[in-house]
Amino acid sequence: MSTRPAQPPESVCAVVVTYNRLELLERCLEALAGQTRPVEEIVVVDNASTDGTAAAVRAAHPDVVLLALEENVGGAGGFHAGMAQAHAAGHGWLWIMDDDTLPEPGALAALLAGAERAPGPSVPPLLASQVLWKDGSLHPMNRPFVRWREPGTVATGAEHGLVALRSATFVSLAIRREAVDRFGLPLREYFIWGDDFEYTNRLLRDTPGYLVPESRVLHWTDRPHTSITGARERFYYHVRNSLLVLRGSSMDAWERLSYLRYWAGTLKDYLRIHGHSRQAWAIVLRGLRDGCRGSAR
Amino acid sequence: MSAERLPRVVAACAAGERSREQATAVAGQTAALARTMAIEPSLEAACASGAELVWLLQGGAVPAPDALGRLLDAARGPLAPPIVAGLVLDAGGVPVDRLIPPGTQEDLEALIAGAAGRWMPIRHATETHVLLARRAVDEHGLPDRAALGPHAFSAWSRRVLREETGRLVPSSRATLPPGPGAGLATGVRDVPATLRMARTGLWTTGEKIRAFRALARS
Repeated sequence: MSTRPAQPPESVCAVVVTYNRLELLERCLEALAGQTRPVEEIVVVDNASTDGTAAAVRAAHPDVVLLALEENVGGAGGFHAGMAQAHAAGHGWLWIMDDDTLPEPGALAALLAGAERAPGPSVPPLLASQVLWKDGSLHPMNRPFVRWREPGTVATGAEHGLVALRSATFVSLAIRREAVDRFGLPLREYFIWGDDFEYTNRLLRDTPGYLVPESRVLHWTDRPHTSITGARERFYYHVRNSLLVLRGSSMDAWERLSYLRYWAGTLKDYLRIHGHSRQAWAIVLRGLRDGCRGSAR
Repeated sequence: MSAERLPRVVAACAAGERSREQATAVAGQTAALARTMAIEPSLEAACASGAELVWLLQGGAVPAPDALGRLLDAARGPLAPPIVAGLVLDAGGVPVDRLIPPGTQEDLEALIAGAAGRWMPIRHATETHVLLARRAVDEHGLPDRAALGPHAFSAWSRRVLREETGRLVPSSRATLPPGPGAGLATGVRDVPATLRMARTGLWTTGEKIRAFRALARS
């Protein structure tokens, strides 16, 4: 990707992807406005909401850059579009999140402080916040994967007050501009599920990212967990995208094997939960077919 | 170090591996008493002498001047862990991965909490550079070297840390001399001990695979 350093290297653009959750979006924007270290710009990507989100943002937040998409392109497409916009504007950091993310006032300042104290000769490709649920525990949907297979890296991270990561989710993630230059954007064709796993695995294959414990956000979901296998048609994306990840280059052989075991288990559980119905088998087979045909990175 | 009263610490360095450099480094930190014995008798003697903490240094590891102080900072307080390990570097100054106990995803909360205090949680340890609370020896006895050979300390530390989380303090450093260093199981003579260790249930499948692969290589 071409670079356009129109902004200072430390400028931060928050990218929020939203779909039909105006009330939550308002709370998210309020939390962004309350940051002790203000963001330089906010980009809201509206995934063709039908609840008047675009008009409301235009009216109440004229300073926000609104990308009102004509169709719902899923979380993956939304982050792709929003990050492309922020990157093109020349920002140094792209701070991405869903509309149900509520950063604490010091969340961004802590992320940037984490970047300052991170070990290594260069700025890490990404930094993540602690993502908490309403009860204060780590949100089960957003538990990042640690670089457990590199204990020396984990130890060095701990020495600097950081947790060395192998992958993370798109809920309060600060991505360095140079990482986008090198690795590109999230894959919009994923639509939903697995886009963050694939993207962060790609960015962090050879270089650690870090979780900054002092940076905390609330992920305001009704329930702490969404069952993949409980989904119906959406399970198609899990089947297809996981296969694309497995075929891609973001994981090494050992990681692939481990992920393959997890994925095979979810397929088995899904078919069992849905009584091995024709419809369930059709969804799985369609996902397998498209996962084999699609282009993997 | 920030405490008013220093706990009594005995340093235990294995006789055959003890270098002059190591002895000098140990003597320069607190009023440590360096013993020149194998681990188990050294631990026993240290506890008998009334030590509250025992600092094990094996494989000729030479501690940095502040290594013990940093371990002590993490080894005190109301929730003091029974085992606090330091970071072991090779002669080139690179952390030795095989001497850092890897964690699991279940340790994530503890890892995040530990990062704030600049330590990481561990579920077992190696004997290369580690501080042990005397109460751990009182409660769990000594490592069973006769049965488990080179895996004895690892097995013992896993039993000690079954209910409590140990800490690794990366800023407390010790450097191995050039060469293969400590913590390497093994030769053909260690096959029975490795088989016995595999049957204890203390190893994960991955650890079993790694241990037998190391044996096969040797």
